[in-house]
Amino acid sequence: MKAVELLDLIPDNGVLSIIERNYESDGDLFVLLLIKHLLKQKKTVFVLLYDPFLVFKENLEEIGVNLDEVLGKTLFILDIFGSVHKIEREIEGVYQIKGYIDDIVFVDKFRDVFFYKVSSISSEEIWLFTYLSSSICKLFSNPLMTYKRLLPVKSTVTQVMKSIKVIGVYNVCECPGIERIVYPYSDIIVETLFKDGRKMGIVTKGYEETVFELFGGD
Amino acid sequence: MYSWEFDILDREIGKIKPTSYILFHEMDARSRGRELIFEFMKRKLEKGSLMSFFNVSCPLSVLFVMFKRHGIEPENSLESDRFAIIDTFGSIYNIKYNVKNVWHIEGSISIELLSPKTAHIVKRIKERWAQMWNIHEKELWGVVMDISEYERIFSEEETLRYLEVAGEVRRRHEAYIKFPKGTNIWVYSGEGSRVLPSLYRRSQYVLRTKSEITEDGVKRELIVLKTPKLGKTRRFEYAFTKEGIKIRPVD
Repeated sequence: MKAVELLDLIPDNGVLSIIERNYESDGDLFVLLLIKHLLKQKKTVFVLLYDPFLVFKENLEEIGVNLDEVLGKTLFILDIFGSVHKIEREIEGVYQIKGYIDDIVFVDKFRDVFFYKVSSISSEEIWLFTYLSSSICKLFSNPLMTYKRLLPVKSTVTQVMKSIKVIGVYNVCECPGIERIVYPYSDIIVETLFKDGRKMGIVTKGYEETVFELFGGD
Repeated sequence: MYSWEFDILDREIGKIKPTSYILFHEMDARSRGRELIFEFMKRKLEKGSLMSFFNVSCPLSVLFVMFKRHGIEPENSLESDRFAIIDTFGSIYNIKYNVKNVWHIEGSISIELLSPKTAHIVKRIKERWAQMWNIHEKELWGVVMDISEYERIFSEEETLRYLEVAGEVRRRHEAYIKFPKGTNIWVYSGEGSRVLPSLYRRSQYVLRTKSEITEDGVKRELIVLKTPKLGKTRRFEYAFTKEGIKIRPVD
Protein backbone atom coordinates (compact mmCIF):
# COMPACT_ATOMS: atom_id res chain seq x y z
CA MET A 1 0.00 0.00 0.00
CA LYS A 2 1.17 3.50 -0.76
CA ALA A 3 0.55 6.47 1.46
CA VAL A 4 -1.71 8.13 -1.04
CA GLU A 5 -3.95 5.10 -1.38
CA LEU A 6 -4.88 5.61 2.23
CA LEU A 7 -6.27 9.03 1.43
CA ASP A 8 -8.72 7.56 -1.04
CA LEU A 9 -10.07 5.23 1.61
CA ILE A 10 -11.30 8.00 3.88
CA PRO A 11 -15.04 8.53 3.46
CA ASP A 12 -16.63 11.98 3.46
CA ASN A 13 -16.51 13.38 6.99
CA GLY A 14 -14.44 10.37 7.96
CA VAL A 15 -11.51 10.00 10.28
CA LEU A 16 -8.14 8.38 9.69
CA SER A 17 -5.89 8.02 12.69
CA ILE A 18 -2.20 7.27 12.62
CA ILE A 19 -1.07 5.80 15.89
CA GLU A 20 2.66 5.85 16.52
CA ARG A 21 3.31 2.81 18.64
CA ASN A 22 6.86 4.03 19.08
CA TYR A 23 8.23 7.42 18.09
CA GLU A 24 11.13 5.92 16.11
CA SER A 25 8.60 4.75 13.54
CA ASP A 26 8.30 8.33 12.19
CA GLY A 27 4.54 8.16 11.87
CA ASP A 28 4.52 11.96 12.09
CA LEU A 29 6.73 12.22 9.00
CA PHE A 30 4.41 9.82 7.22
CA VAL A 31 1.59 12.25 7.96
CA LEU A 32 3.63 15.15 6.63
CA LEU A 33 4.01 13.22 3.37
CA LEU A 34 0.24 12.99 3.19
CA ILE A 35 0.00 16.74 3.69
CA LYS A 36 2.60 17.29 1.00
CA HIS A 37 0.66 15.12 -1.40
CA LEU A 38 -2.61 16.94 -0.74
CA LEU A 39 -1.00 20.34 -1.13
CA LYS A 40 0.39 19.24 -4.47
CA GLN A 41 -3.15 18.37 -5.51
CA LYS A 42 -4.21 21.91 -4.50
CA LYS A 43 -6.42 20.53 -1.74
CA THR A 44 -7.24 22.67 1.28
CA VAL A 45 -5.36 21.57 4.36
CA PHE A 46 -6.03 22.84 7.86
CA VAL A 47 -3.60 21.87 10.61
CA LEU A 48 -4.26 21.93 14.34
CA LEU A 49 -0.76 22.44 15.62
CA TYR A 50 -0.06 21.21 19.12
CA ASP A 51 3.71 21.21 18.61
CA PRO A 52 6.11 24.10 18.08
CA PHE A 53 5.51 25.87 14.79
CA LEU A 54 9.15 25.77 13.79
CA VAL A 55 9.36 22.01 14.23
CA PHE A 56 6.39 21.57 11.95
CA LYS A 57 7.65 24.10 9.44
CA GLU A 58 11.17 22.73 9.24
CA ASN A 59 10.02 19.15 8.97
CA LEU A 60 7.65 20.06 6.19
CA GLU A 61 10.33 22.03 4.36
CA GLU A 62 12.70 19.13 4.79
CA ILE A 63 10.43 16.95 2.67
CA GLY A 64 10.15 19.62 0.01
CA VAL A 65 7.17 21.81 0.83
CA ASN A 66 7.68 25.53 0.47
CA LEU A 67 5.48 26.94 3.19
CA ASP A 68 5.51 30.50 1.86
CA GLU A 69 3.87 29.33 -1.35
CA VAL A 70 0.94 27.64 0.32
CA LEU A 71 0.33 29.32 3.67
CA GLY A 72 -2.88 31.31 3.65
CA LYS A 73 -3.76 29.92 0.23
CA THR A 74 -4.26 26.18 0.59
CA LEU A 75 -2.60 25.59 3.94
CA PHE A 76 -3.99 27.00 7.17
CA ILE A 77 -2.63 26.47 10.63
CA LEU A 78 -4.18 26.96 14.02
CA ASP A 79 -1.15 27.42 16.25
CA ILE A 80 -2.34 25.97 19.52
CA PHE A 81 1.14 25.54 20.92
CA GLY A 82 1.93 29.20 20.33
CA SER A 83 -1.47 30.24 21.69
CA VAL A 84 -1.01 28.41 24.97
CA HIS A 85 2.56 29.64 25.39
CA LYS A 86 1.78 33.16 24.15
CA ILE A 87 4.34 33.09 21.35
CA GLU A 88 2.84 35.68 19.07
CA ARG A 89 3.25 35.40 15.33
CA GLU A 90 2.13 37.52 12.44
CA ILE A 91 2.16 35.05 9.56
CA GLU A 92 -0.51 34.84 6.93
CA GLY A 93 -2.51 31.65 7.27
CA VAL A 94 -1.35 31.01 10.83
CA TYR A 95 -4.00 31.69 13.45
CA GLN A 96 -3.87 31.85 17.18
CA ILE A 97 -6.29 31.90 20.06
CA LYS A 98 -5.79 35.11 21.95
CA GLY A 99 -5.97 35.98 25.60
CA TYR A 100 -6.31 33.89 28.68
CA ILE A 101 -6.43 30.14 28.16
CA ASP A 102 -7.19 27.28 30.48
CA ASP A 103 -8.69 23.89 29.65
CA ILE A 104 -12.30 25.03 29.72
CA VAL A 105 -11.83 28.46 28.17
CA PHE A 106 -9.72 26.94 25.46
CA VAL A 107 -12.46 24.66 24.15
CA ASP A 108 -14.94 27.55 23.96
CA LYS A 109 -12.49 29.84 22.20
CA PHE A 110 -11.33 27.05 19.94
CA ARG A 111 -14.89 26.39 18.82
CA ASP A 112 -15.35 30.04 17.81
CA VAL A 113 -11.99 30.55 16.15
CA PHE A 114 -12.02 27.25 14.31
CA PHE A 115 -15.53 27.72 12.99
CA TYR A 116 -14.86 31.29 11.96
CA LYS A 117 -11.63 30.48 10.14
CA VAL A 118 -13.01 27.42 8.39
CA SER A 119 -16.10 29.35 7.30
CA SER A 120 -13.89 31.90 5.60
CA ILE A 121 -12.15 29.29 3.46
CA SER A 122 -13.62 29.09 -0.01
CA SER A 123 -13.53 25.37 -0.52
CA GLU A 124 -16.11 22.63 -0.36
CA GLU A 125 -13.83 20.17 1.31
CA ILE A 126 -11.07 20.48 3.85
CA TRP A 127 -8.53 18.08 5.16
CA LEU A 128 -8.03 18.57 8.85
CA PHE A 129 -4.74 17.35 10.32
CA THR A 130 -3.41 17.30 13.82
CA TYR A 131 0.29 17.58 14.57
CA LEU A 132 0.32 15.80 16.95
CA SER A 133 -2.84 15.11 18.89
CA SER A 134 -0.82 13.50 21.63
CA SER A 135 1.01 16.75 22.31
CA ILE A 136 -2.20 18.02 23.85
CA CYS A 137 -0.91 16.21 26.93
CA LYS A 138 1.92 18.72 27.19
CA LEU A 139 -0.32 21.75 26.97
CA PHE A 140 -3.22 21.27 29.34
CA SER A 141 -3.77 20.26 32.92
CA ASN A 142 -6.59 17.90 32.04
CA PRO A 143 -5.68 16.97 28.49
CA LEU A 144 -7.91 13.94 28.05
CA MET A 145 -10.95 15.91 28.98
CA THR A 146 -9.93 18.79 26.75
CA TYR A 147 -9.37 16.41 23.87
CA LYS A 148 -12.76 14.79 24.32
CA ARG A 149 -14.46 18.15 24.43
CA LEU A 150 -12.71 19.23 21.24
CA LEU A 151 -13.99 16.29 19.20
CA PRO A 152 -17.59 17.49 18.76
CA VAL A 153 -16.32 20.78 17.32
CA LYS A 154 -15.42 19.01 14.10
CA SER A 155 -19.06 18.31 13.31
CA THR A 156 -20.02 22.00 13.56
CA VAL A 157 -17.98 22.56 10.40
CA THR A 158 -20.30 20.41 8.33
CA GLN A 159 -22.72 23.34 8.41
CA VAL A 160 -20.39 25.27 6.12
CA MET A 161 -18.41 22.53 4.39
CA LYS A 162 -19.48 19.64 2.24
CA SER A 163 -16.89 17.41 3.75
CA ILE A 164 -14.22 17.53 6.39
CA LYS A 165 -11.80 14.65 6.41
CA VAL A 166 -9.72 14.26 9.50
CA ILE A 167 -6.26 12.79 9.80
CA GLY A 168 -4.90 12.69 13.31
CA VAL A 169 -1.53 11.47 14.45
CA TYR A 170 -0.80 10.31 17.98
CA ASN A 171 2.24 9.13 19.77
CA VAL A 172 0.98 6.62 22.30
CA CYS A 173 3.82 7.09 24.80
CA GLU A 174 3.30 10.83 25.09
CA CYS A 175 -0.39 10.69 25.80
CA PRO A 176 -1.71 7.33 26.89
CA GLY A 177 -5.45 7.25 27.29
CA ILE A 178 -6.45 9.03 24.13
CA GLU A 179 -6.19 5.74 22.29
CA ARG A 180 -9.32 4.44 23.95
CA ILE A 181 -11.29 7.16 22.24
CA VAL A 182 -9.34 7.16 18.99
CA TYR A 183 -10.04 3.54 18.20
CA PRO A 184 -13.84 3.58 18.32
CA TYR A 185 -13.97 7.13 16.89
CA SER A 186 -11.94 6.46 13.74
CA ASP A 187 -13.00 4.91 10.45
CA ILE A 188 -9.49 3.80 9.60
CA ILE A 189 -6.49 3.25 11.80
CA VAL A 190 -2.89 2.75 10.85
CA GLU A 191 -0.39 1.94 13.53
CA THR A 192 3.22 2.76 12.84
CA LEU A 193 5.94 0.64 14.29
CA PHE A 194 9.72 0.56 14.35
CA LYS A 195 10.81 -3.03 14.69
CA ASP A 196 13.87 -4.98 13.57
CA GLY A 197 15.21 -1.93 11.80
CA ARG A 198 12.05 -1.47 9.71
CA LYS A 199 9.54 1.33 9.79
CA MET A 200 6.20 -0.26 9.17
CA GLY A 201 2.59 0.69 8.91
CA ILE A 202 -0.15 -1.72 9.85
CA VAL A 203 -3.77 -1.11 9.05
CA THR A 204 -5.60 -2.22 12.18
CA LYS A 205 -9.07 -0.92 11.47
CA GLY A 206 -11.36 -0.09 8.61
CA TYR A 207 -9.59 -1.86 5.80
CA GLU A 208 -7.76 -5.05 5.03
CA GLU A 209 -5.21 -5.47 7.77
CA THR A 210 -2.08 -5.19 5.69
CA VAL A 211 1.47 -4.52 6.81
CA PHE A 212 3.43 -2.14 4.60
CA GLU A 213 6.69 -0.20 4.49
CA LEU A 214 5.93 3.34 5.64
CA PHE A 215 8.41 5.01 3.38
CA GLY A 216 8.45 2.53 0.55
CA GLY A 217 8.91 4.25 -2.75
CA ASP A 218 6.48 7.11 -2.38
CA MET B 1 -30.59 -18.00 29.88
CA TYR B 2 -29.57 -15.20 27.54
CA SER B 3 -27.61 -15.40 24.34
CA TRP B 4 -24.19 -13.80 23.83
CA GLU B 5 -25.44 -12.98 20.33
CA PHE B 6 -22.46 -14.87 18.98
CA ASP B 7 -23.44 -18.49 18.36
CA ILE B 8 -19.98 -19.76 18.96
CA LEU B 9 -19.90 -18.30 22.47
CA ASP B 10 -23.32 -19.72 23.32
CA ARG B 11 -22.07 -23.08 22.18
CA GLU B 12 -18.61 -23.06 23.69
CA ILE B 13 -19.12 -21.36 27.03
CA GLY B 14 -22.85 -21.58 27.51
CA LYS B 15 -25.50 -18.89 27.61
CA ILE B 16 -25.64 -16.11 30.18
CA LYS B 17 -27.36 -16.45 33.50
CA PRO B 18 -29.81 -13.55 33.87
CA THR B 19 -28.89 -10.79 36.36
CA SER B 20 -25.21 -11.68 36.11
CA TYR B 21 -22.42 -9.18 36.11
CA ILE B 22 -20.19 -9.51 33.10
CA LEU B 23 -16.79 -7.86 33.22
CA PHE B 24 -15.48 -7.13 29.76
CA HIS B 25 -11.82 -6.26 29.99
CA GLU B 26 -10.50 -4.57 26.88
CA MET B 27 -6.83 -4.83 27.65
CA ASP B 28 -5.62 -2.72 24.75
CA ALA B 29 -7.43 -0.42 22.38
CA ARG B 30 -6.10 -2.17 19.29
CA SER B 31 -7.97 -5.32 20.28
CA ARG B 32 -11.09 -3.27 19.46
CA GLY B 33 -12.85 -5.29 22.11
CA ARG B 34 -15.58 -2.76 22.64
CA GLU B 35 -16.68 -3.28 19.08
CA LEU B 36 -17.78 -6.74 20.17
CA ILE B 37 -19.94 -4.99 22.74
CA PHE B 38 -21.29 -2.59 20.11
CA GLU B 39 -22.20 -5.58 17.97
CA PHE B 40 -23.79 -7.27 20.97
CA MET B 41 -25.82 -4.13 21.70
CA LYS B 42 -26.89 -3.82 18.09
CA ARG B 43 -28.15 -7.40 18.01
CA LYS B 44 -29.90 -7.18 21.37
CA LEU B 45 -31.65 -3.97 20.37
CA GLU B 46 -32.74 -5.48 17.07
CA LYS B 47 -34.25 -8.36 19.00
CA GLY B 48 -36.26 -6.01 21.17
CA SER B 49 -34.29 -6.20 24.41
CA LEU B 50 -34.43 -3.22 26.74
CA MET B 51 -31.10 -1.61 27.37
CA SER B 52 -29.66 1.23 29.36
CA PHE B 53 -26.22 2.50 28.51
CA PHE B 54 -24.10 4.36 31.03
CA ASN B 55 -21.90 6.79 29.18
CA VAL B 56 -18.81 7.56 31.21
CA SER B 57 -16.31 8.11 28.41
CA CYS B 58 -17.08 11.02 26.16
CA PRO B 59 -19.51 13.70 25.03
CA LEU B 60 -22.79 12.26 23.77
CA SER B 61 -22.24 13.51 20.22
CA VAL B 62 -18.93 11.66 20.11
CA LEU B 63 -20.61 8.55 21.47
CA PHE B 64 -23.23 8.80 18.73
CA VAL B 65 -20.50 8.93 16.09
CA MET B 66 -18.98 5.79 17.59
CA PHE B 67 -22.34 4.03 17.68
CA LYS B 68 -23.04 4.85 14.05
CA ARG B 69 -19.60 3.73 12.94
CA HIS B 70 -20.48 0.34 14.39
CA GLY B 71 -24.01 -0.15 13.15
CA ILE B 72 -26.06 1.16 16.04
CA GLU B 73 -28.65 3.80 15.20
CA PRO B 74 -28.92 5.59 18.53
CA GLU B 75 -31.70 7.98 17.54
CA ASN B 76 -34.06 5.23 16.36
CA SER B 77 -33.38 3.08 19.38
CA LEU B 78 -33.87 5.95 21.80
CA GLU B 79 -37.03 7.01 20.02
CA SER B 80 -38.47 3.49 20.30
CA ASP B 81 -38.31 3.52 24.13
CA ARG B 82 -36.18 0.40 24.19
CA PHE B 83 -32.90 2.16 24.71
CA ALA B 84 -31.91 4.70 27.33
CA ILE B 85 -28.65 6.49 27.96
CA ILE B 86 -27.55 7.74 31.34
CA ASP B 87 -25.09 10.40 30.40
CA THR B 88 -22.75 10.49 33.35
CA PHE B 89 -19.98 12.13 31.36
CA GLY B 90 -22.20 14.92 30.11
CA SER B 91 -23.61 15.42 33.60
CA ILE B 92 -20.22 15.75 35.23
CA TYR B 93 -18.80 18.08 32.61
CA ASN B 94 -22.04 19.87 31.91
CA ILE B 95 -22.23 19.01 28.22
CA LYS B 96 -25.90 18.18 28.00
CA TYR B 97 -28.05 17.34 25.03
CA ASN B 98 -31.81 17.37 24.98
CA VAL B 99 -32.55 13.99 23.41
CA LYS B 100 -35.43 11.67 24.22
CA ASN B 101 -34.47 8.91 26.67
CA VAL B 102 -31.13 10.47 27.45
CA TRP B 103 -30.89 11.07 31.17
CA HIS B 104 -28.67 13.40 33.10
CA ILE B 105 -27.76 13.40 36.73
CA GLU B 106 -29.04 16.67 38.11
CA GLY B 107 -27.33 18.87 40.63
CA SER B 108 -23.96 18.35 42.19
CA ILE B 109 -22.17 15.12 41.45
CA SER B 110 -19.86 13.70 44.03
CA ILE B 111 -18.99 10.08 44.15
CA GLU B 112 -21.32 9.71 47.17
CA LEU B 113 -24.27 11.17 45.33
CA LEU B 114 -23.63 9.37 42.08
CA SER B 115 -24.99 6.08 43.29
CA PRO B 116 -28.39 7.13 44.71
CA LYS B 117 -28.93 9.55 41.87
CA THR B 118 -28.17 6.89 39.28
CA ALA B 119 -30.45 4.41 41.03
CA HIS B 120 -33.22 6.97 40.92
CA ILE B 121 -32.78 7.38 37.17
CA VAL B 122 -32.75 3.61 36.68
CA LYS B 123 -36.05 3.49 38.53
CA ARG B 124 -37.56 6.14 36.26
CA ILE B 125 -36.33 4.28 33.18
CA LYS B 126 -37.81 1.03 34.41
CA GLU B 127 -41.10 2.74 35.24
CA ARG B 128 -41.24 3.97 31.68
CA TRP B 129 -40.39 0.54 30.31
CA ALA B 130 -43.04 -1.03 32.54
CA GLN B 131 -45.64 1.27 30.99
CA MET B 132 -44.54 0.48 27.47
CA TRP B 133 -43.66 -3.18 27.62
CA ASN B 134 -44.15 -6.33 29.54
CA ILE B 135 -40.79 -6.02 31.21
CA HIS B 136 -40.99 -9.40 32.88
CA GLU B 137 -40.77 -10.98 29.47
CA LYS B 138 -37.96 -8.81 28.16
CA GLU B 139 -34.23 -9.10 28.54
CA LEU B 140 -33.03 -6.09 30.51
CA TRP B 141 -29.46 -5.02 29.90
CA GLY B 142 -27.16 -2.46 31.40
CA VAL B 143 -23.89 -1.54 29.72
CA VAL B 144 -21.33 0.69 31.40
CA MET B 145 -18.67 2.10 29.09
CA ASP B 146 -16.30 2.40 30.52
CA ILE B 147 -15.75 1.91 34.17
CA SER B 148 -12.03 2.69 34.11
CA GLU B 149 -12.91 6.29 33.30
CA TYR B 150 -14.20 6.71 36.86
CA GLU B 151 -10.63 6.33 38.09
CA ARG B 152 -9.63 9.31 36.01
CA ILE B 153 -12.67 11.42 36.81
CA PHE B 154 -12.54 10.71 40.52
CA SER B 155 -9.67 8.66 41.94
CA GLU B 156 -8.85 5.04 42.33
CA GLU B 157 -9.74 5.21 46.01
CA GLU B 158 -13.08 6.87 45.44
CA THR B 159 -13.92 4.59 42.54
CA LEU B 160 -13.36 1.55 44.70
CA ARG B 161 -15.60 2.98 47.39
CA TYR B 162 -18.25 3.76 44.81
CA LEU B 163 -18.19 0.28 43.32
CA GLU B 164 -17.93 -1.63 46.57
CA VAL B 165 -19.84 0.30 49.22
CA ALA B 166 -22.39 1.98 47.02
CA GLY B 167 -22.76 -1.22 45.04
CA GLU B 168 -23.89 -3.02 48.17
CA VAL B 169 -26.37 -0.38 49.19
CA ARG B 170 -27.73 0.40 45.75
CA ARG B 171 -29.33 -2.96 45.27
CA ARG B 172 -31.69 -2.13 48.11
CA HIS B 173 -33.10 0.71 46.06
CA GLU B 174 -36.62 0.42 44.73
CA ALA B 175 -35.22 0.38 41.18
CA TYR B 176 -33.88 -3.09 41.81
CA ILE B 177 -36.58 -4.43 44.15
CA LYS B 178 -39.81 -3.17 42.68
CA PHE B 179 -38.66 -3.92 39.12
CA PRO B 180 -36.78 -6.84 37.64
CA LYS B 181 -33.00 -6.66 37.82
CA GLY B 182 -31.04 -6.32 34.64
CA THR B 183 -28.00 -8.17 33.42
CA ASN B 184 -24.97 -5.95 33.36
CA ILE B 185 -21.85 -5.54 31.31
CA TRP B 186 -18.99 -3.52 32.70
CA VAL B 187 -16.44 -2.52 30.14
CA TYR B 188 -13.05 -1.86 31.66
CA SER B 189 -10.15 -0.76 29.52
CA GLY B 190 -6.42 -0.77 30.05
CA GLU B 191 -4.13 -2.46 32.47
CA GLY B 192 -5.83 -3.02 35.76
CA SER B 193 -5.10 -1.34 39.04
CA ARG B 194 -6.91 -2.08 42.28
CA VAL B 195 -10.29 -1.51 40.75
CA LEU B 196 -10.01 -4.32 38.24
CA PRO B 197 -9.56 -7.17 40.79
CA SER B 198 -12.49 -5.86 42.76
CA LEU B 199 -14.69 -5.92 39.66
CA TYR B 200 -13.33 -9.32 38.78
CA ARG B 201 -14.43 -10.83 42.08
CA ARG B 202 -17.89 -9.35 41.79
CA SER B 203 -18.46 -10.66 38.26
CA GLN B 204 -19.85 -14.02 37.27
CA TYR B 205 -18.41 -13.77 33.79
CA VAL B 206 -15.08 -12.23 32.83
CA LEU B 207 -14.03 -11.82 29.22
CA ARG B 208 -10.78 -10.23 28.14
CA THR B 209 -9.64 -8.99 24.75
CA LYS B 210 -6.06 -8.29 23.75
CA SER B 211 -4.05 -8.00 20.59
CA GLU B 212 -0.55 -8.24 19.27
CA ILE B 213 1.14 -7.40 16.03
CA THR B 214 2.63 -10.41 14.32
CA GLU B 215 4.29 -11.09 10.97
CA ASP B 216 0.86 -11.58 9.42
CA GLY B 217 -0.75 -8.50 10.86
CA VAL B 218 -2.85 -8.10 13.95
CA LYS B 219 -3.77 -11.11 16.05
CA ARG B 220 -6.72 -10.60 18.36
CA GLU B 221 -7.64 -12.87 21.20
CA LEU B 222 -10.72 -13.19 23.37
CA ILE B 223 -10.16 -15.06 26.61
CA VAL B 224 -13.04 -16.21 28.74
CA LEU B 225 -11.46 -16.09 32.18
CA LYS B 226 -14.41 -16.79 34.41
CA THR B 227 -17.87 -18.28 34.07
CA PRO B 228 -20.19 -19.96 36.57
CA LYS B 229 -18.60 -23.20 35.40
CA LEU B 230 -15.58 -22.89 37.64
CA GLY B 231 -12.09 -23.50 36.47
CA LYS B 232 -12.78 -23.56 32.80
CA THR B 233 -11.10 -20.94 30.65
CA ARG B 234 -11.44 -20.71 26.91
CA ARG B 235 -9.51 -18.86 24.24
CA PHE B 236 -10.83 -17.55 20.95
CA GLU B 237 -9.36 -15.64 18.06
CA TYR B 238 -11.44 -13.03 16.35
CA ALA B 239 -11.15 -10.82 13.31
CA PHE B 240 -13.03 -7.91 11.78
CA THR B 241 -13.86 -8.76 8.20
CA LYS B 242 -16.04 -7.32 5.49
CA GLU B 243 -18.65 -9.91 6.41
CA GLY B 244 -18.55 -8.92 10.06
CA ILE B 245 -16.89 -10.21 13.19
CA LYS B 246 -15.52 -13.73 12.97
CA ILE B 247 -14.77 -15.63 16.17
CA ARG B 248 -13.13 -19.04 16.26
CA PRO B 249 -11.90 -21.17 19.13
CA VAL B 250 -8.20 -21.70 19.75
CA ASP B 251 -7.05 -25.12 21.03
